[in-house]
Amino acid sequence: MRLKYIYTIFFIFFTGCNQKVSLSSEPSLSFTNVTISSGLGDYVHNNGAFGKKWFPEPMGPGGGFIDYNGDGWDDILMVNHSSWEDDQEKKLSALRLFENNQNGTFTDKTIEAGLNEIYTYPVGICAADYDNDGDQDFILTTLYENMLFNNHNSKFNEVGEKSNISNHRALSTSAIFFDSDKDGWLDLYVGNYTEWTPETDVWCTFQGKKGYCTPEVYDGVPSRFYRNNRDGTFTDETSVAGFLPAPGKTLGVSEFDFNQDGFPDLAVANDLARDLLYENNKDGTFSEIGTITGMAYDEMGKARAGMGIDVGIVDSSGEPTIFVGNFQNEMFSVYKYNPAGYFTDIAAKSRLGRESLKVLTFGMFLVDIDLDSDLDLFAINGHIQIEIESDNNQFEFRQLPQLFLNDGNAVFTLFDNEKNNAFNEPIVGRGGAFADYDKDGDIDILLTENSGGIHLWRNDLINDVTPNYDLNYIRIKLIGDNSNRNGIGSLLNLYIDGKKISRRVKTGSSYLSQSEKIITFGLGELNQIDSLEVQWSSGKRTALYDFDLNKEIEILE
Amino acid sequence: MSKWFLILSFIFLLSCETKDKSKEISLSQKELASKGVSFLNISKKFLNAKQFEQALSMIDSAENLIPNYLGVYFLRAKVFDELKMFDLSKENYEKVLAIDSKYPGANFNLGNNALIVSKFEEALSYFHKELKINQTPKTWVSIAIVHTNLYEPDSCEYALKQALRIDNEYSKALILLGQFYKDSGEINKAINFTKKALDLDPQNIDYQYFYGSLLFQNSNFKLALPFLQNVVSQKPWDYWAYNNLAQTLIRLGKKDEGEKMLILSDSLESKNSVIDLAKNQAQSNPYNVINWIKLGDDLRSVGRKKEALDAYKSALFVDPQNEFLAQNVALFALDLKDTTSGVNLLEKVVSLNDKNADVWFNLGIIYAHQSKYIESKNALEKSLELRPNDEIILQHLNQVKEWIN
Repeated sequence: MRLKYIYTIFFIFFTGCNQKVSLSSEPSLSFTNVTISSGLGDYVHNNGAFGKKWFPEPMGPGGGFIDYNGDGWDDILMVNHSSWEDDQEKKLSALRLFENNQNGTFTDKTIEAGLNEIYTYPVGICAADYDNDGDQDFILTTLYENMLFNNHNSKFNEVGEKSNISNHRALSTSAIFFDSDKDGWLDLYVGNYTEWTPETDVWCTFQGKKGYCTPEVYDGVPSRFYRNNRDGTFTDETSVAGFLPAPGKTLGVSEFDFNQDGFPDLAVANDLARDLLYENNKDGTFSEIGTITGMAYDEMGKARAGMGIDVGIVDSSGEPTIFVGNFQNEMFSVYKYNPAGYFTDIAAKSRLGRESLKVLTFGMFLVDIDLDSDLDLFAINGHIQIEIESDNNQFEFRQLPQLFLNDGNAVFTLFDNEKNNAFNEPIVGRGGAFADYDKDGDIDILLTENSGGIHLWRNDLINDVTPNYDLNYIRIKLIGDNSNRNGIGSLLNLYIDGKKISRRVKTGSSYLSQSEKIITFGLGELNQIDSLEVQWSSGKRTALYDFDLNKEIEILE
Repeated sequence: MSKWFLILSFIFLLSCETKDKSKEISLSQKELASKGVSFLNISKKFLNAKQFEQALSMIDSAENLIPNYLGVYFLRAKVFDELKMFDLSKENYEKVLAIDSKYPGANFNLGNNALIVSKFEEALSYFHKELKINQTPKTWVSIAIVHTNLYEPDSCEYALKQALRIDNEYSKALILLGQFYKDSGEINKAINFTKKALDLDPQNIDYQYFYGSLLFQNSNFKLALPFLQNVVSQKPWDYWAYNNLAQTLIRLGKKDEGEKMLILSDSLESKNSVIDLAKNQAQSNPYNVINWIKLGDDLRSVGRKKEALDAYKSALFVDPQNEFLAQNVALFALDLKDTTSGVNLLEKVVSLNDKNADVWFNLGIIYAHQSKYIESKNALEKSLELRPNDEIILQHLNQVKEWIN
C-alpha cells in the first residue's frame, strides 16, 4: 500500500482588506460577498425567457467548483446562456469558466478551455474524473441531449455522443458520478424531470396570465443510469440495473451507504413525485425501496416538491440522515436512518421544520461551515413565479439563503443573518456549492441565481479567529488507485477526543451543482487527532495516526 | 336601527307587553315577524341539507315580511359561504354590520372567508374586531390559524392559550396546540395535548388519526396501530391514514400487510391530488357548474359520496334549470338514502319538465315508501299517462290504489 502526504500551500490566517475584529472569545462566523471584487461581476445567467413562460426557464442555473487545470485551486464553472433549439442567433455559449488566479480573483477562461461555442439549453453540471486520467471532466445536463466534456490538458472536448451518454433526449437536471459496482470506474446517474417541448407546452395560468406550470401537468421521465465501460464510453443500463420503472421528476440525487454494506446507494429527490431510495444489490443492480423504508413521502403519505438533496451523518448515532429541500409551506424532509431498516422524518425534532416552511428551497448541502466538527446545513431559496409577491403577501420571489448550525446532535439553529451583509440580499436562488477557493482553511460558498449573477461568499471565519482561540481543521484530498481516481465513494473516519466523525467523498447532492471533493474536518479547539481511517471505494483501508493539523493533505491509495 | 330589528330582537319580550294599543299594532307586526322567522328556520334546514336554492328562496320570502332584519342578511351570507361565493357573502355580512356593527359572528365569518382565500391580514383584522364584541375560544383558534399561515409561531401559541384561558376544555384549541408542539419538535407535549383533546371528543376521527400518527412518530407503533386501523375503516379513501398504517405495520414486522396498504395509499394519493385540484378550481370559480360537477365526480370516485352530493348540490344551485343534472343528483341522493333531498330534487325535475315518465314513476315509488299514498297514486297516474302501456307502472299503481282503499 502506498501512502503519501503531500502538504500543499495553505494559509492559516488569511489577511485581507475585509478583515474583521472580533471581541468574542470564540471566532464569529461571517461571510463577505466577494463576487465583484473577485472578478465574477459580469456573469448573468440567461434562462432564455422571452415572454412565453416556458416550463424549463425557472429551473437553472447549475454551477460550481472544478479544478479544471489541476493546480490545486478550485475554478468556477457556470451554466450561462440558454439557447432554444430553433433560436436563429446563437451568440453566447451555454457555459462559462472562471480560472482561479490564486489570489482571491478569477479570470474568464471560457475560450481557452474550449467552452465558448456550446449552444444548447443548459441546466446543471457534475464534475469528476470519469476516465481516471487525472483531470476533471464534467457532464452538462440540458433540455436536449446531455453533453459530456472530456478534459485534456485543461481543454475540453465534447464527447457526449461518442461516449453514449447523449443517447437520450430529455429535460435533465442533477447528475451524479459514482462507482456503483466498485470497479474503480465512475458510473453516471442522470436525473430527468418531465416531458416537455415547446409544442406540448401547457398554458398554466397565474393571476389570470400565463405562468410557470407545476410539474403535475407533465408526465415524468425516468432518470438514466450509465455504466462506465472503462474505455471512455458508457452503456445505458437504466433498465437492467433496476432503475425502471421510475416516476421521473427528479431534481436532486445524492450518494451514501445507508446500510453500511460498503456499496453506494442513491437517494433521489423528486418534484411532486415520491422520493426514491436505490439500494445497491451488490451485483450491479439496484432495488428501489423508498416507500417501504418510509422516506418517499411526507408524514401524511403525500409526495412533496423535492428539489435539492444531501446526505450526511449529523449526530452521534453514526447513522445517515437525508435532507431534501421542498416547496414553500412544506418542511424540509429530514429522514434519519434507523438500523432497524427504516427512516424517520425528524424535520421538526431537528428544529428545521418551522423555518423551512417559509422558503422554497432548491440547492441544499451539508458542510462544516463553522469548523466545529459537525455538519451544518445550507439552503438556497427562491420562488418560481415572479408575480407571487403581489398574489400573496407572505410569499416572496427573492428569498434569503439560510444557514442552519448544528449543535452536534442534529438540532439546528438558524444562523442570525441580520448581522451579516452577505445574507441580507434575497435572491432567486437555485444551485449552491462549496469549496475552500481561497485556501484559507474555511469553506466558502457559491450560489447561483435564475436570471441573476453568481454569488460568491468568502467565509471569514479563519480571519476572525481571536489570538487566544485555536480553531483547527484538516483537509483531506484522496487520490485513488484501485478506486476511482477521485476516491469517490470512499469514507473517511476521523477519530478525535473519543468520537468518530465520518465524511464521504462524493459528487452530486445539492441542486445542479458541483462542490469540491476535498473533505474538510473542522476540529474546533481540539488540536490532537487520534487517527484517520480511509475506507477506500475499492474496499482497501488506510489508517493514519500522527500528522499536523490546519493543512490540506493528499492521500494516495 | 330599523324597527324590524327591534321587534325581532325582542320578539319574546314583546310578547309580554301589556299595553293594549301597542299590543294591537305589535300583534300584527309580531305575526309577520313570527312568520318571517319561521321562513328563516326552514331556510336553515334547507341550508343544512345543502339545498341552496330553496334556502335562498325561503330567505327571500322572509325578507319580504321582515325587511332589513339582520338575520336575513346573516343567513343569506352563510348560504353564500357554503357556496364559496365569498363576494356575495361579504356583501350580506356588511349589510349586517352596517345595521349593527356589534352583531356577533359576522366579523368571525368574514375572517374565516378571508382565511380560506389566504387573505391573512384581512382575516386577522376581522377576528380582532370579533374579539372586541365577543371573546370566544373559536375566534382565538382562528387567529392562531392565521398566525400559523403567517409563520408567526409565538403568536399562534399565544392565541391558542388564550382560547384555553376562556375554555380549558375547548378541544379544537387543544388539538391545535398538539399540532403546534409537533411542528416545534416537542413530540411528548404534542401527545399530551392531543390526548386531552381526544379524551374530550373520543369519537372524533380526525383526533384519533392525529393521535395515532403522533404515537407512530414517537415510535410507539403498537399503541398507534388501533387508532390508525380505526381511521382507515372509517375513512377508506384517506391515503394519509393508509400510509401511516402501512408504515406502522412494516415497523411491527408485518411487511406484506404493510406493502399492500402502501399500494392502496399510492393509488388513493393520485386520486386525492385530482380532488385537491378540483376543490381549488371550484373555490376559485364557484360560478362555473362544471367545476362543481368535476369535484363531485372526483369525490365520488374515491367513495366520498356525501361530500360528492354536496358538490353536486352546489352545481345545481349554479345551474338550477339543468333537468338532467337535477335528475342524476336526485338518484344519487336516493342511493345515499338521503330521501329528503332525493324527493325534493325529483319534484324539482318534474317542475322543470312534467313529461318525464321515469321521474314521475320514481316519485310515485318513493311516496309509497313514505306512506304518502295519495301523492304516490297521483305521481304514478302521471307516469302512466305519459307511458300508457307500461305494465310495471300499472302494476304499482294498482297496488297503491289497493293500499288507499
